[in-house]
Amino acid sequence: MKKKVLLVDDEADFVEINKAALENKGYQVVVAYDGKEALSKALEEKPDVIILDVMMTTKTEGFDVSRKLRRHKEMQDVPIIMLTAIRERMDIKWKIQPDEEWLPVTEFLEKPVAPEKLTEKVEEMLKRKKK
Amino acid sequence: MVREKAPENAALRLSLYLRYLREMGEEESISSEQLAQLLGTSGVRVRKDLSYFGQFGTPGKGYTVGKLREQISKVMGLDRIWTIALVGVGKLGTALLGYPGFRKSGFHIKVGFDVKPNKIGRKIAGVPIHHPYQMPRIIREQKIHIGIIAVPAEAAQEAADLLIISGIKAILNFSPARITVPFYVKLRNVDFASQLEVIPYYIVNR
Repeated sequence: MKKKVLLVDDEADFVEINKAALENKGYQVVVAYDGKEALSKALEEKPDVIILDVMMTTKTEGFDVSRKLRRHKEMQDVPIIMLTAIRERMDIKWKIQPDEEWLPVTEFLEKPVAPEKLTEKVEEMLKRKKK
Repeated sequence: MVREKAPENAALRLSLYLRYLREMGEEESISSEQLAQLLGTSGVRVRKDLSYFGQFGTPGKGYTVGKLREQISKVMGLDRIWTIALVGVGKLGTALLGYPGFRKSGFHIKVGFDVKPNKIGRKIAGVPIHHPYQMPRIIREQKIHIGIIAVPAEAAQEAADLLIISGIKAILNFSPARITVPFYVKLRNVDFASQLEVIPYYIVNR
């Protein structure tokens, strides 16, 4: 059975390119364009991996989505790859790191991320999850 | 300097001792019993509170006000200026900006943030107001230490997130929302409504 990836980003071009790259590698891809849609799709579709943008409806919406996802038992072990250009766009000098309570994501990647790198990261997350 | 881990209430009482000591003359002497009387507590409690933080005064002679004030200020980190960013310049936020007591204790609200276009770019009580999305740059440039949140509940977590990504490590939250912060950020909540809700309990259970 195909592994399912939920791809969340408000940039349609980014979603389209990365969806194609992931499908090309054999993944089933579900997309969402904001936090609210992401939460409902995650609970409905039960993805194996979630790729989550930060700056959507608000500048930190992705942070909030990650916290809300983790409140659901079935979402507690799903790897979340957080993608963002927040440091560059908001002029932040220090590196933002995952935190169990505040930022409960598995990886924090900074945009731009090449589609092939993102696909590799998804593969890595799934392998890690198997172990 | 702290000998054993002091309970949070002891630190709170230290702040109250300081408030009374600030009203007294530098050279005056005060005993633990007199200080206790001002606060409605016991001399034993005062001595115990102070003992968590070091050696104060002379046994049998009490404390010199100026010296004790200086020592408590140092223990509490109040011997320097702390810079603050206020998020939310509504009614409560504006009142906080105008409160002169903060300055007396070394707290300086240097900058405010609000989403209302009619406030951005203005000065309120002498404090410049900016859009919250400018937080990381302004907080870095102004070397801000502490964030105060005075926004409606639904905006509180975003305000906290913006303060945290701006590098703030201590937040005082006046909104009734329960907010999440990373382990390295100290959060204190001041929830007026829940504090008020406790009052009838004491009245009816007198």
